[in-house]
Amino acid sequence: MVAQLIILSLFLNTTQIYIVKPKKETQFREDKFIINMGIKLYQNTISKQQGEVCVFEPSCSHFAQQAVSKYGLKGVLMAIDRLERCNGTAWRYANRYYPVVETRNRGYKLNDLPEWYE
Amino acid sequence: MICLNGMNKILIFLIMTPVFCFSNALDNTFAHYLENEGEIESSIIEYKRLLIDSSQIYNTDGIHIKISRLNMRIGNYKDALYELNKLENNDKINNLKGISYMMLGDMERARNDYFRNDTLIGISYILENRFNRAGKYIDISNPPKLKNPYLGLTLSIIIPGMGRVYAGRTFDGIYSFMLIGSSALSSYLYFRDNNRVFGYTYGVISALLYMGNLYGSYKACKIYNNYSIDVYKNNELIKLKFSKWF
Repeated sequence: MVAQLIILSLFLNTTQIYIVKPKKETQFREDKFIINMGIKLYQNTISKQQGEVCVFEPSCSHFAQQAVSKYGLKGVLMAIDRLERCNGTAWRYANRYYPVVETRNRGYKLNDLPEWYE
Repeated sequence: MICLNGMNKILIFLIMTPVFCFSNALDNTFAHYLENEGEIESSIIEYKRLLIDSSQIYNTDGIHIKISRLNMRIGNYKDALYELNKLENNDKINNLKGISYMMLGDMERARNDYFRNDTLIGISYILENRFNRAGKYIDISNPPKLKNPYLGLTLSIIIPGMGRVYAGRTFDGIYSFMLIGSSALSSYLYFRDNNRVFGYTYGVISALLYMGNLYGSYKACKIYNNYSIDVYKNNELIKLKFSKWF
């Protein structure tokens, strides 16, 4: 028994045990990727030509990006809902449903975050 | 000129000595100043310093209460309870303890163990959104009429944008109705002209807008309810002078 323990202790001292953690599978979501690519394409082409037209902060395309990356398909619905709310009359609900914030480059905008529509 | 004989001098000396020696100990002017300047945390530290200076001589219950009130004002309810637990229970201390527990979310404990005041019990029910129950203890105005999100959803299913109008966002409702209507009309017109590509494109766009509108109507009702309840609660708490307890 003692001999066995000595051999075991020697074995434990001389060998290093490596615990191999299974790699986390990073899920590649095609739907999210396609939507994000579409939004980026819009931001780099049409949005640059339009200038600052959105009344909200973050702007509708950034809102859509955040919503889709956080909530997936539900985020698409949130983004569409946001597009329907993005019009000049949104200022009527300033400080009621949307707090007014001063942005760095875009002046005063209505704050509206995806988390509020979860 | 007042002439003092020897005995009087000794008497005055005996009376005034503790006053001069320990006058600094309870000089809370600076702590008051910090409090008025909005430096609540620094004010708490100053009051704690006073506590150390004067703990051997004076009854310091008042300073403990002041520290706990200041902690409550900045939202450190656990620290406030820690200070209050050092004191003997009375109505005032119980109320403050109850408010701390209430603000920490333990309403039942606050009501059962500490509150003996109808106003505070009513406030605890208001904070829980149990307005009918609160009405049994205090006079409150009628709670706001809430919008049913499912009714909003149903209205939007029947007429796009109607749910938003129901939720009080008339212009958003009209705008979304025009968006959905125009894209659906475009789809119909393209199909009529046998242009299937544009017909399907506008069809998909109008379907997506319709679904987004349903979600938006449901959420608009919920946001309306949350906003109305918040405004109502704030107004009631101001009317009941809830801040005077801090």
